[in-house]
Amino acid sequence: MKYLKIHLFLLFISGISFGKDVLLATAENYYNIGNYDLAITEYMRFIFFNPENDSISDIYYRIHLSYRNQGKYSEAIKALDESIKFASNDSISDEKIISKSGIYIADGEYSSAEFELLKISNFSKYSEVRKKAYFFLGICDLYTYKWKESQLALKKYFYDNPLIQNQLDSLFYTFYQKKYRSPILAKWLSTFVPGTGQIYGGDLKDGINALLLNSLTGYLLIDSIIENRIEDFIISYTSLFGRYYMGNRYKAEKATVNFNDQINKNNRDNVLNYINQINFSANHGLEITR
Amino acid sequence: MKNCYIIYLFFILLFDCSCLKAQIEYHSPENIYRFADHLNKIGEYSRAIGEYQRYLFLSNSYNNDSIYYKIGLCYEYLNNMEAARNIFHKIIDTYPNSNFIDRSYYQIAFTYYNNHEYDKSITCAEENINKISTKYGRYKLNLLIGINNLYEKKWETAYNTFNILKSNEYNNFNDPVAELEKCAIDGMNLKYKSAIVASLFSAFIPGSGKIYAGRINDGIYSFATIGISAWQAYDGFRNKGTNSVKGWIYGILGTTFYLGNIYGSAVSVRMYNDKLDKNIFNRINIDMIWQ
Repeated sequence: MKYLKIHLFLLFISGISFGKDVLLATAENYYNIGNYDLAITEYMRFIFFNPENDSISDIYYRIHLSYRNQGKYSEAIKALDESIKFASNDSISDEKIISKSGIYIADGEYSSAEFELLKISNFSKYSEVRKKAYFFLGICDLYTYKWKESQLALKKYFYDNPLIQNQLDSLFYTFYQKKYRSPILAKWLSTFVPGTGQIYGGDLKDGINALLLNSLTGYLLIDSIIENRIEDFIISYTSLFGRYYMGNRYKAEKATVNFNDQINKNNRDNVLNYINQINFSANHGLEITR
Repeated sequence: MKNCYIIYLFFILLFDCSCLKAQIEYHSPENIYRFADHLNKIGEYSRAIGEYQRYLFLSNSYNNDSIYYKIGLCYEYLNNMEAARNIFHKIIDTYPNSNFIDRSYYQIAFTYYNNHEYDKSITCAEENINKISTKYGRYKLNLLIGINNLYEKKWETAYNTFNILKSNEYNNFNDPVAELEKCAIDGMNLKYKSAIVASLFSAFIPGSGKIYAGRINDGIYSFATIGISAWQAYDGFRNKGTNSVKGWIYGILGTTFYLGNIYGSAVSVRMYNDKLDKNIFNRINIDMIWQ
């Protein structure tokens, strides 16, 4: 019995020396306490001294996470590219490409994210990976306000949960019911009564400002017409009235575009809040940022 | 049985020790130094500095001047010129017989140059040039003084410096000094325009200051805008007296344009002169000089 205990103890010691490299353990420790900079240095040291190690891909992945947590997205993508390069199989590689798309989304590079995600969702050999890609694609489409594409992608992700699918459907349905305001109509409103287009577009302050300025410059214009002074009319129109009047039309259109954009942002935030509520972001390591 | 077990334990221990031995000594001074050099090479200067400093702390060597020099360069790459200067001063103070003394003096002046503090760079280089032991070191520092003089627009001083350096044995086959000398000559021949003259021109004839500064279209446009505004204001006041809305609107507008045009003419001349300088500065390629 005594010999058996000694034997087990020695095996335990051997196990430690066979186990995780002490440097990696240090790096992990730094990572866990949030000292990402030191963690990156230790991971880099490990890679430098063990360039043939089997876990290089995972270590680059940890570097990418450290950079991501520091908000250094371009460095995170570089590290992730290295991680993908050293990935031992397609499944891991595909998973990492999805992570890369997550960084692209966080960094606002939606087209790059969409490109990578479409590739994975269409061509990955692994159904679980494809499913995850649909989730991220749905999020990416939310940010670019492609509601139908987003709805379709998210529904593909939640294909096994009809309740969530229904809730998503009703959420997206409310978006389709929302009425956007027409920038063209706003432009025409301001064409006839300066400032009304801006008010229609939700910008009351700019509308009143445009109304006052155009009334003043319009007075000069009308005055020149009443007094039959063509040269005054031309000058008033080219130097003042024309400028403010055209600006007023442009601003009416812009105010309406901004108004519609705000509706889109609210829609997006509603879906993101819903997804956050059902905790899917936490399960997939995606911080949904606004 | 007992003996067999002792032999078994012996082999387990031996195997275990060999495993421990296989672990790389990541934090040995030599490995830290290798890793620091690697970080320096891949452009991770901030981490490289940390590793060099760790090496300095752990190594027992007294000849660490080369390490300090590398740290100084890393700080320079990170654009932390003050920290870089402190390191180079430390080399000069701590290692009076170091091979890096000449380079440190040069780098101190170069940090000021990098910070666009050309006058300080000149002062620093002139103070230290006699402390430099090698001819090549003095040649490099003199070149830096000349270049700083170019950026300070001290064309003649720069010309004199390059004229002397032209025949220096280290002026290689690319003959970079000749190009710099040409820059100095072109600088001496520059014909700057006066901001005051431009402002006065525009005060008398709106737009003429801008034409003087080489912006003909802008000048004509200013003349037309101010002229029309003034005419409209005059016309309004003449017809309806001080009650004329038109007169007040165009009067205020015209006065604003008029004053803005005077100020704009001075700015245009400054931009014109800056452009002349920039045309010369763009020809200075400091990387080419050190090849």
